Amino acid sequence: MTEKVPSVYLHIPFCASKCYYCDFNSYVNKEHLIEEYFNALKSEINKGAEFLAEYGSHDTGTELETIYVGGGTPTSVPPRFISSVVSLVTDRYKMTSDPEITIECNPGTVNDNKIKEYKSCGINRISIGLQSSSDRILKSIGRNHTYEDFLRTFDLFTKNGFENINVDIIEGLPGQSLKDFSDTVNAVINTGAKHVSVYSLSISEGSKFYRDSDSIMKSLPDDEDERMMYHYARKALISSGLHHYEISNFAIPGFESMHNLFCWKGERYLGFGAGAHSFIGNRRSANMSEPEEYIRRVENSESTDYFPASETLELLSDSDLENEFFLLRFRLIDGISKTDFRNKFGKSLDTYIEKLDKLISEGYLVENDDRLIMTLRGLDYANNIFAEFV
Amino acid sequence: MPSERQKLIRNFSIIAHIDHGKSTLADRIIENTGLLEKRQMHDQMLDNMDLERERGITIKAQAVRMKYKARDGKIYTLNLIDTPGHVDFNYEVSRSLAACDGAVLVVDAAQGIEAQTLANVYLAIDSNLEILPVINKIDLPSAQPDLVKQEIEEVIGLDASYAPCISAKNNINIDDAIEKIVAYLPPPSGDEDAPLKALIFDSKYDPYKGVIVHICVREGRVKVGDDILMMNTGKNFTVTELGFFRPGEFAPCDELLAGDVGYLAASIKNVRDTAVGDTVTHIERKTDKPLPGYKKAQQMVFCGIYPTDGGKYPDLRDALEKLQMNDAALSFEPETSMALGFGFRCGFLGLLHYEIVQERLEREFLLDIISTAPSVIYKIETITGDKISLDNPTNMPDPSHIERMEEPIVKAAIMTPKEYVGNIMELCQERRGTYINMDYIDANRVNMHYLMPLNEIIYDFFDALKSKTRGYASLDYELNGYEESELVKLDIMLNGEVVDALSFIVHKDKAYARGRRMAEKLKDSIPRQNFEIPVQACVGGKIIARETIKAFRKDVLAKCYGGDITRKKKLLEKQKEGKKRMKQFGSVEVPQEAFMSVLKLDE
Repeated sequence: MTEKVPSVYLHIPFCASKCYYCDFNSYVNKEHLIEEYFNALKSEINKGAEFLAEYGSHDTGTELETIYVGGGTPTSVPPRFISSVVSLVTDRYKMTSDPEITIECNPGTVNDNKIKEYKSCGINRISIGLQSSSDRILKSIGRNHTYEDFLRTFDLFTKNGFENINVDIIEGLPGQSLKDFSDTVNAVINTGAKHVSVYSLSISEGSKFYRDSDSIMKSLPDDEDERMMYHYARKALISSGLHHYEISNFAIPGFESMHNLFCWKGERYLGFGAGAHSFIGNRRSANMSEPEEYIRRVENSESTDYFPASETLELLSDSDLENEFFLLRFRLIDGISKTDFRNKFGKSLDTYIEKLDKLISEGYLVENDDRLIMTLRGLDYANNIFAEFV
Repeated sequence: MPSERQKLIRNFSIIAHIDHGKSTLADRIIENTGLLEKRQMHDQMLDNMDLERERGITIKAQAVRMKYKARDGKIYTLNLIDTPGHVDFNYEVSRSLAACDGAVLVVDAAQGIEAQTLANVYLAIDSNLEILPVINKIDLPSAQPDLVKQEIEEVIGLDASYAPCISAKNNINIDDAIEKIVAYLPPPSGDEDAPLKALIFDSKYDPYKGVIVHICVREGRVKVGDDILMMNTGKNFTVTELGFFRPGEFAPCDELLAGDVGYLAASIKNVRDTAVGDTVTHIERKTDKPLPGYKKAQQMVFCGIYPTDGGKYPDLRDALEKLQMNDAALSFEPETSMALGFGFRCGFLGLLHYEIVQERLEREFLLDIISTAPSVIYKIETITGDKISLDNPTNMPDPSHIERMEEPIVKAAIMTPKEYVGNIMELCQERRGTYINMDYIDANRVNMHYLMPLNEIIYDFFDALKSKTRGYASLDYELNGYEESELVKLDIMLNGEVVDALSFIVHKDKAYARGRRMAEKLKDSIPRQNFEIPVQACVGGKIIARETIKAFRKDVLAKCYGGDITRKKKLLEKQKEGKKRMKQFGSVEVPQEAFMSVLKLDE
């Protein structure tokens, strides 16, 4: 194994309630599994460490640079579970001196003690899901917190010395007006958040909105308004000093999400927990999604089975890897570098020249010396760019 | 006078309104004559096509021969010729009836007489057939057999006193029905020693035997090895095989005699050499006069059919040729469209026939096709006195060159429970119908007669009728001639370009409403693309309706982290797959469904 593995992802699938747009691997009313689940998670983390020790021992690049605790709502479980798994990773894996350790958080799910426990295990980055500053909209999308809850949560983290905080917001929600959204953007800017993610709503299979799509579709803002929201957020965030570095992500320089940047740059990662994905070499595997099944599989595994809960395995060919390079890197605002491509794949971009020229002629991409980057128009039709590479 | 042999033969059809149980009764008769064990039967033996079974209709005439030992102790040969049950297929019905001496009229004991019951009865009477009424579905709670019998006597004027009351579905009184077929339907007659005179009532193509001609021998006899002549087409052949029909198979024999129904094969390569309705005779000993034959299939609906993938044009041609071998009523000739490329102008008996051909092309030949708006044949007289028959709106001359235009008018009979009379009047009026009269069939049901432009009927009339009468009304129509009319061509423009495939001809008073609905419908069924697309409807260059398809939603710019990549890729693949079924017009991609949806505009 020659490439480095800079990231570990831990999945916490528990939630107090399911938001209407959510199709992630998360569950309500499974709190009784928490204890067992974390035991399984620890066992999987240990196996991952053994795997890296066995196969990555000759590689100096296997130091972990980021850990990401996502969900679900990781902050909904008692904090000792979180600190125990994060500590286990930092103990068992070779870490860089200054790793980025993120936890996802929902407003109103933390208190002073929880936050102190997070801090003590090394967590240094917080990602808060606000989604909207309108209580009316929050209610209508199934969030069980208010805008006030968010402000209190944000303050609590700041008071405890957390500086690297991201806030997630969503545009294009049912019933959302341009003003609703601009209020949200301005509210986030006022908090001084160092990082903001602006997602456009997608109605995904498996979500309540998808099941109700007949009525939901009617209350969505029309496309022009939805695009205006996106571009409003972009302008407002840039003018308050955040830098647009990925389609949906903005950060004060130096506060970009390292973990996600690694992913978009095609770096390898290990994912632990129900439904988590790992990407090692040319193998991308996914764990069983159901927590019960995940726990059972890990508990019954052989000691030498390093990926005991994996359910699917995808072997990526060279051309798959190249296509993913485009698929992911074009998300980044600084686009792709021809030199990077050559260094990574040992050949020039010429094999893709036809597709790229087409995208340039359609006004989605622009060429700038060594780089190919998305145009403003490309941002609106990014799926058309990506679709060329599947 | 029938010979002793002929006295033991019954050639008959079963006729009925759709869903009254015609095919089920046919199955029961086959089963009860012991031809097949019950377990060998799958439902509706004679409906061979998947499509027929799914839609519950018979499209193609089928024939089968059975032996039956009657209560008089004699063994009878029963030749059952199944007939299609839809108004579009009247032509096929009359073909089948021409091969028969009698007909079994099935009437639903709960529904009574319907529009097609009458239409079929009249066809049978025209063919001089003896008719045996059978009351079916007597086990239904709502069955009123006595009332239905009375109706048959009053409306049709048949003696229904001896009509068997049966349930084909539950095998009640089937034997009684078969006994009555033997007792009441006449045997064939015709001199067995006269020169050969046989009627072709159907033909099928078989890759090994060539065309298989279904015949009914009226006079004389035919043997394997005989040299025969098709009197109409003038073609000669030598008979290589003769036989009878058994369900799903052929039973060869050496000779067919006057009164027999069977098939002949004679290494015939081309279905066109064996025109249905033609008379077969011997070359050496010709009969003096051919049989009258019958009305040729009359195509009333025309549309263009194109492959979505231009490279599949030869495949489409092959498929149409194969379909035509089993469906003489289908016609086609090559045409081109600016929008759709190379395809065929096809003629159909009606809208259902058109839908069935389209479905068969897709299912049996796995072709992705696009069809243009259906049209009827208009008659045009130009200012220079030229007369044009127009079946393709694209070819309509400039209005300034048109002196007058005529459109086909049909005489429509709509049978309905009386509470829907108001709804139907409204609908017919809206469709430019002219009321003729209305008669009461019984206290609750009426038969309404209208003169209607055919182009209003092919335009989703049947669906509208069903929805305005909760499915109770039934429709039958026949061509009644041409009438002068003020017609205009309605064009649809996408992104400023006329899509010739969507043009159609409409009465000038209807153009505005129709154009607006079409533009709306297209707006809903054409997916958003990367740019705004104006959809315009225009008449003679004047825009009468406009809609805009907005540029599409950026859609899934949601998260894309570690685990999402696989899912993201799948979503993108789906998106690409959807694009494949679209047809490119200039820079606009139009899905096949969009074409279909404009043909079915709900009111």
